[in-house]
Amino acid sequence: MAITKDQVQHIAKLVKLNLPAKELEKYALLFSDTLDYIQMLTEIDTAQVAPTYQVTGLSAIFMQDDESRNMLTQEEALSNAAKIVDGKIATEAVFER
Amino acid sequence: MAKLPRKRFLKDNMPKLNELNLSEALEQLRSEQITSLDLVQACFAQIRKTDPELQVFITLVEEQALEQARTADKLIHQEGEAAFIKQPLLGVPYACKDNFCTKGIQTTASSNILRDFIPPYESTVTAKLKEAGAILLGKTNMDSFAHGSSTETSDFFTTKNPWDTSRVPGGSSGGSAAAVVSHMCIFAIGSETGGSIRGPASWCGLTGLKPSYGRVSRYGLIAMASSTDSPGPITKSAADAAIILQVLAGKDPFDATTLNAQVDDYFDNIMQFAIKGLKIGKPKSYFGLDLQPGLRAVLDEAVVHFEKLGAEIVEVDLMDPKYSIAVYTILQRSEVSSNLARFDGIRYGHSRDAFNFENKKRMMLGAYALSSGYYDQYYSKAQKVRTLIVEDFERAFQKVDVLIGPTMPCVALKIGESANSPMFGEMMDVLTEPSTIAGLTGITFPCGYVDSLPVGMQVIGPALSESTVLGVVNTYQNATNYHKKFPNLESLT
Repeated sequence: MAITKDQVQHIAKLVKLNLPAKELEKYALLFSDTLDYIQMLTEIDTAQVAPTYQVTGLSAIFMQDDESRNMLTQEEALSNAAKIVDGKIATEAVFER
Repeated sequence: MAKLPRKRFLKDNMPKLNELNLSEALEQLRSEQITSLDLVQACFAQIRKTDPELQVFITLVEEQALEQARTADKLIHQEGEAAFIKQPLLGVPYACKDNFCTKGIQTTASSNILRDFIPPYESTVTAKLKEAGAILLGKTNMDSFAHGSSTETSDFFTTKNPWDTSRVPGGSSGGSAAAVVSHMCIFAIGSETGGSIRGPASWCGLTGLKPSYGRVSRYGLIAMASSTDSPGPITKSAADAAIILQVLAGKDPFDATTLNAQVDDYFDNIMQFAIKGLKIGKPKSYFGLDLQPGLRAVLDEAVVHFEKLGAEIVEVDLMDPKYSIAVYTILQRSEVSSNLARFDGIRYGHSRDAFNFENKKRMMLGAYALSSGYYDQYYSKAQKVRTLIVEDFERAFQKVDVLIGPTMPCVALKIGESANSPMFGEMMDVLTEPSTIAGLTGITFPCGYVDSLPVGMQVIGPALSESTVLGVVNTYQNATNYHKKFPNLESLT
């Protein structure tokens, strides 16, 4: 299955990556190779098979109130932030004025 | 004063302190034949001697470690053996893969995006080790975000295999394996998603245990593929692995996928383990794989050894492991794309431009597999085949107690050999991926050599059968010496 440079560019945008133009073709070739390989799964009939998203069989696990110890302080939560304004994390503007 | 002659005896005739395995170190700490301070200093002396060439550690915390050693020695001196009931690993130095968050200590996952990250919290694994009295020496190199099987995708450097420094140690927990086999620490912690504990342990001639999924908490482990990530020990023996698993295993309120099942008394269980009559399955599809010449003969010899020890070898049919490569590739890439989405360069870490080629490749392929129009074809299909892999193992375990097979299809590769293979990691991990996809436990152990490089064999068991797989390997190690062989590092000094 051939992946085009345009498709790579589109995926890069979806996962918020800036790719140098010269890398697009390299990724396109690698993706095509990998997709060709995993094509082998079509050999297996799964029409009557349910998916396994997780193997533990656990469901509806909630944390008890008395277990919510070790909360970070505001100072700790901000300790690795790139930009802090008034004790809060500053981000790029999302909406245009 | 009475202790002096014994100490001199140790220095003259016994292995250096850092060359002790965990069981030996604990025994000698307990009886106060050695001090934790001497042990920790011996490890740092070895690190200073060999790390410049082997390139194992990203971060060292020597001052903190020496302080903890002094505290441990005081406790041991005051409380004697009772101190070890509360803290079973008291005074023992270890190394940890750099994807476990350690509060106040740089944690990078070998990625430039986290090169300045100081976690404000502690992972459950390292917290449990600290509570048990173990002493962290430093954080070890790995493939960036665990994306690889050689440490070559690390953004910082490639770790060298101590058996042959022109070769890779395997990965992604390559730094941890290299640290143990070069005696820089007494044991190390790794994490496995597809083969990242068993692979490097095999290529470095060590014992590496991948616990069942959910047996050991993932809290504070920088996620690769959340549905298969499993932390575990890399050690000099199965008995050592049992002691560490005892500390690590158990339900954790901070990881909703941890199992509530009772934690076995692993060490006692393996001491009482009887291999006689145990049915060991030998999957035709694993041994029938295109293995490196010479490997099969070494593995066959180990199989014969198990028969001599009283086990019954039964040939079993398992699905061709090549399908697991495809399933693993889709699931892992998909989960990577989701897990690495959180790196926004705002709350912590550098901008997304700091991801390397391998990280970007995996994220984008995952996003593609999950995207509208392709979800059923790739992600959903892979999860259905995963069901068949799980059922395939269930059928096998109705006939046999455990399965054995090669751990890796070849011995350690040369640095650079992986460069032109887009799915290098997946191909190398072909024999560990099926069991990891199914959430089973598996353990690798050294069983011989090809071209003077160690060969690993693995034992795979049903989920929560750690006592059995550890027992099988412990029985083998009681009868053999492969796990006592270490590379000659004289040329590095």
